Amino acid sequence: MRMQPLTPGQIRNSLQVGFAGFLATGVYVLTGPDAGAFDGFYVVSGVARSLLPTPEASMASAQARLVGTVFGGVVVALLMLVLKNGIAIGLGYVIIQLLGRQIGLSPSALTNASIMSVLLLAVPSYGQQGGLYVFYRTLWHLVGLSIGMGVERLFWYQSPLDRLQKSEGYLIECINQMIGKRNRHSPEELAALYAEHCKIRHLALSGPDGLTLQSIDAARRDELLERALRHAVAMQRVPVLLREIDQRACKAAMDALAELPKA
Amino acid sequence: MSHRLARKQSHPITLVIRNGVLLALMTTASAYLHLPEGLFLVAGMLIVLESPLGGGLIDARERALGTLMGLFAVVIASGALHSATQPIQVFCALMLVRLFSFAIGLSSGYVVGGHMVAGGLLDASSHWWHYALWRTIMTIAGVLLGVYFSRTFYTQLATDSWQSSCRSWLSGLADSLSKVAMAPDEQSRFLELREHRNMLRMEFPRLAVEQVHLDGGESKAVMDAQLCIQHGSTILSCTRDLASLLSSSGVESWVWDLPVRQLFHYGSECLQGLADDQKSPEAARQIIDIRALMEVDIGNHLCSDAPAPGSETSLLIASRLLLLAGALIEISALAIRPRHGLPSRLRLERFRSVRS
Repeated sequence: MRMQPLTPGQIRNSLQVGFAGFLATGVYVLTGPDAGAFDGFYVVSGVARSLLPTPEASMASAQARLVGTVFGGVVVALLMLVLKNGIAIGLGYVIIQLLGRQIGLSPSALTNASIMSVLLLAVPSYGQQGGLYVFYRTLWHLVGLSIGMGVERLFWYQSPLDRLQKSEGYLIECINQMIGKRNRHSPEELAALYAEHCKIRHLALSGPDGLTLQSIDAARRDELLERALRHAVAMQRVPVLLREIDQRACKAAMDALAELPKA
Repeated sequence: MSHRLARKQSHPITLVIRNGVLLALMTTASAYLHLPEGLFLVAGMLIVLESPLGGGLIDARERALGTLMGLFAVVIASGALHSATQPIQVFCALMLVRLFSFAIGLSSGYVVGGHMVAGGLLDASSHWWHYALWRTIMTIAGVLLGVYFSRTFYTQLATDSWQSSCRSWLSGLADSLSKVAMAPDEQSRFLELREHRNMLRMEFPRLAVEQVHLDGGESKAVMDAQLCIQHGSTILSCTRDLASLLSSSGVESWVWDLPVRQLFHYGSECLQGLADDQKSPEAARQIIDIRALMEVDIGNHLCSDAPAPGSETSLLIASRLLLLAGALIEISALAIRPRHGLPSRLRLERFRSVRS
């Protein structure tokens, strides 16, 4: 296992999650002894589950945890009315998986729901609490996840539009380096970077700045960037004799892109 | 879409039942043996079993190392900072979990490390050492059991679903190539193929990890899969470029004298053969001949006179045709089929399933 140097973004993320944990524990302590009795430590579990690489990933993870907990909790609580032994754990898992897929739950939500089968049926104290355990587990997670996502928005937050502009800037830098024959990325890496860029663009289009990105200029920017990228990738693949044609086409697209106003 | 279908089918009911039975058995065994923090043994096992072997191995690593990072953070926060208030302890521990996890390259294991902090510092603060140590031991034992069961019973391989998805992608490429001269500029089709390629690339680490685990080192299947994405991507971008270039104005007559349609025909045949696991050596030979012919013709054209105005399009077409032929030659040498080096037990299961 090789140690990797930490990036500024990772250090910021660590500080954010530490701070969110500090706030969550403050809530836990201020709630008093009741918090311990009602499994209040899940508030910090909620924080640990947020502040993922992107706010969208944090939101998806939060949804999966909450929906999975409630869905699994309800299924297992109903199952416990008729069966409460080891077989019920396996049966609960199978029902959760089959039913959950039918109603279109995500794999992550299904995993969270499956864990409920073990928790409610294998831990006697949780089983005795039944619905109350599901309620408090969901509630504390909700508080923790909200604190985590609140801190995520409060410090060093980048909107999808900011991320799109950053990603576009980086792509332009890479393509310019290729035109200047100072390649930093292979054609495959460049294509992967563009795929990532397209994902961010998709997010930004459905965000609050979506209308700005639907303007004619923004569409033209995307078209030119893609054209430049395709020529930049081809430039590294075509026979040397014909490379210059792609280089010229790539440069023409980049020049046209530079003349357009930024999104 | 075909690749979505492949994803949906990747979790048959037998696996759900297998996981349910193992979950029931292991939970009962853990309770019967009074294993300390035995719940985490079951949770660790389940996380691995819920994915195909390759994905399970990645999840196992993330969970085991994330838990270990959580243990370190709890020991530091509860030991060195034992006199600090709980919020301060949690601040330091959660921050340390992330820093340690990022430093060793984890991408999701820090979540379970954070859960260890929550449990160790808040829920089990009076016996944190017992809790954190046994939770770590049980998690590691659980993921090891998960890997063992995943390899032993109704093994589901990430490689199989990846290869099936790759075949469907190659078939799509073959289809696009066969239609490029007839139905040019079918952009939505190309975008769909590009999305499918991105998905194959995203799923690739699972295949690679699985192959290394099964074969214990460099695997030909991994190399072939990587090269298949690489050359397939080149074919895709060339086909897309050619579709728009051939329908544009300014294509000179010498371009149409090149064996363009033959290249598309044999290229499509070659890709379809690869997708169906029925290679076509004749098509591959024809492509080699076509490429040699095109190289000579294009070379002659470049040497004969300076390109006239408007010939940029023709030269771009020539460049893409050469690139396409090269990628087709490379891809025709690959094999997208069940990989070698299966453990003997899995080989036997596969043999039985083929016979039945």
